[in-house]
Amino acid sequence: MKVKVVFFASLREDMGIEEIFLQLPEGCTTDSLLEVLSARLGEKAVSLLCGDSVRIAVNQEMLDGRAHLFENDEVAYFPRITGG
Amino acid sequence: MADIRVQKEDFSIEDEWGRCRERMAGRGGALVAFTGLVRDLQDDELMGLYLEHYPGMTEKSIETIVENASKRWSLLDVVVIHRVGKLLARDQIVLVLVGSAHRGDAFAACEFIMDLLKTEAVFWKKEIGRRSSRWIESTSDDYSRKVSWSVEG
Repeated sequence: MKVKVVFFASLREDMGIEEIFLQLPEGCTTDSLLEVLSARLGEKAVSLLCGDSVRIAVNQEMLDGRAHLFENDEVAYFPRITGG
Repeated sequence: MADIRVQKEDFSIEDEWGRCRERMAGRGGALVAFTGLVRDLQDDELMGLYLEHYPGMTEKSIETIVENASKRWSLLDVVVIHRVGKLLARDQIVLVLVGSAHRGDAFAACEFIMDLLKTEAVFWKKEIGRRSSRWIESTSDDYSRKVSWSVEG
């Protein structure tokens, strides 16, 4: 299944990538997604995604914990928000 | 009832104010506005701010804040305009305009929406310097203001 992963703000800059499309096995979760990203982008880049202040959204809904992924899902990684 | 916009362009508080008054017609008894501005930057090296957003999710996050405000107070009209992109000192960043039958509801809802925009709306701010740039994090004061409204999370 195809999944789009996007990165924002400081994470986008630190990782040097804005978005990536991945082919994942069925039944993949946000946890196993990290392993796939590690293989594609390197361990150093993925270590940035595991920081305490990193938030994850799936299909533009904030995620608390982990989630199963499905065809055409969009997963976003970003740092703490600072609006207003 | 709610008009939510995320845009690069500046906004006219006078125009928004006039349209809001028209929409409320004779029902509105109070109209409260808050405008956020970019302060003169203390450090000469700083040139301005850059605001990034997540198209779609950002608008939804503001809609959720406005929906929560509408459940707490009796509101007739809400406008939230948040700018993105590069902004300079003294530029307008955000407008929150709340119309209601009575001032208590309009004052409270306007402050609530603005406080929650700080911690719940999906934006990222970066200070742009002449030599370097820095992403800004929410302050503990921002979070304590959110908690003061008894909002979890």
